[in-house]
Amino acid sequence: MPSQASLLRLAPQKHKHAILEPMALIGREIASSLIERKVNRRAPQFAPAGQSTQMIIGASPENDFQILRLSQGLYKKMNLKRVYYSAYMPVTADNRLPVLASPPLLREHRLYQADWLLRFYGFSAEEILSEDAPHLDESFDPKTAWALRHPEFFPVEINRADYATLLRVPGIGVLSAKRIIAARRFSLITHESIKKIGVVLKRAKYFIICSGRPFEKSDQQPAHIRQQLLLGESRGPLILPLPRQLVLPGLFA
Amino acid sequence: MNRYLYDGTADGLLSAIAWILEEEPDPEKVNLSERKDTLFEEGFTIGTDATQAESLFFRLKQHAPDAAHTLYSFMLAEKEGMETSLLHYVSLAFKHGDRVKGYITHPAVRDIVNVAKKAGRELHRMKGLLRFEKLQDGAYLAKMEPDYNIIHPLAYHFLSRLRAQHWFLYDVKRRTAAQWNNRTLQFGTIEQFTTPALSEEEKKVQALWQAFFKTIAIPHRKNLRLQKSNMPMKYWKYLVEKQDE
Repeated sequence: MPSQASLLRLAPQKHKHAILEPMALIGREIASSLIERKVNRRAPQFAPAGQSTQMIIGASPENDFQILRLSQGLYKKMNLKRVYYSAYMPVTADNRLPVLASPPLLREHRLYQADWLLRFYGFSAEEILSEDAPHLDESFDPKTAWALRHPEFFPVEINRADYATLLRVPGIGVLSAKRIIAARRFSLITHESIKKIGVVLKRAKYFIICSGRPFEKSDQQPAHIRQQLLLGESRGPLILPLPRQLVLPGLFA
Repeated sequence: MNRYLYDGTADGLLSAIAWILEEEPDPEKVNLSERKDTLFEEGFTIGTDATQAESLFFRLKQHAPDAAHTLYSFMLAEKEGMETSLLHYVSLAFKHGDRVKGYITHPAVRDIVNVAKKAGRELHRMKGLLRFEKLQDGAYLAKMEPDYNIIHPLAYHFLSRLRAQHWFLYDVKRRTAAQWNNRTLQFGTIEQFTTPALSEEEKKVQALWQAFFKTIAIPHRKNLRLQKSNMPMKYWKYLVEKQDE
């Protein structure tokens, strides 16, 4: 359960401290064992597989921002290896249990995407979400959503940007960012060769330039990119963005 | 652009590459292909020299061990029509060392690395999917039909694992075989292959294995797509557990 209140409501026999204190202890032990192993390679490992935990999503009223901030804290303070999220699926029918129309599987998926951003892409929970917009966008992955909110960060020059900047481009992952950095030591990366590297151009083409030349001719406004991404991505019925999502911070600034 | 030809053997290819790297000022502008003796074929034929080929490989191994490993895996694949790419790859590997594998924007490097990766992947899979069967005389036989010619590295892999046994590997498609007789490892080709009889014990073991494979499966957790991706269907022909389906 992502918070004390829902833990009290759904599992009153459990206590926050009884769960968090052993986790913190394991986290401290893992951290000290890592330091010891830096000095002596043969020092015994503590919990070599790492520590993990699981959160039930959708059974309690926490928003995504609270959940992500909790995961971020767990990763930073308790040295967790993984936080798992599972969409709540009722096993038995009982009128005291929360009722959902369907298990929030898409929400679970978006949380995992955001979790990856926390662990491998150098994002913080406060960058992905905020108090004002505490839920992850259903129609875009969190990285694209972040990119659309930050038009001042783009376009990124593929041939010069550093690793951390490349990682923030939607459609460029850890592997393609490393490949770009390895390949550009030999020669400039051109429009043709970027496809071969494994970059997902469907999303990346709106956010990158190669040697000063953009992929898309027209001057891209975030609202326009958003429309095009939605048109390109939706298979079957087109998902139209809700009116409130069309108002972007930074668009009229 | 200069055009060169070689005789179509692996040694010939490597010695041709060694010769071009030695003589040509700019090997990346050279074209190399197999000699087919057709009417309009042009180009200078380079003779085969096994010592040259070997020395090229050892020099590359000293200079760029990763690139030498890629070259070895690529040679297992026996791909035709990629000689020019290989020449450019080796030339770049001598120039840049092991960093060359990052140069995937270069078409030659990309092609060679991709083919080598496929061959290496098949070698790894075959280490797990090879099935030895005990014959009547106590020897073990494993048949396989891999896409790439991986019998050499595979035999050395099993040499360090099954030293006490007497075993054969047989590549059905290429008719090549490897034999370990407790003392020496030999490679050769087989003209005519007759399937030898299995020992009684082996038949019992196979029946038990098939029964085990069937009963251990949980029907609710069946995931045929996953099974096929870890154990591709092209290998099922020689898998003991797949025989009775």
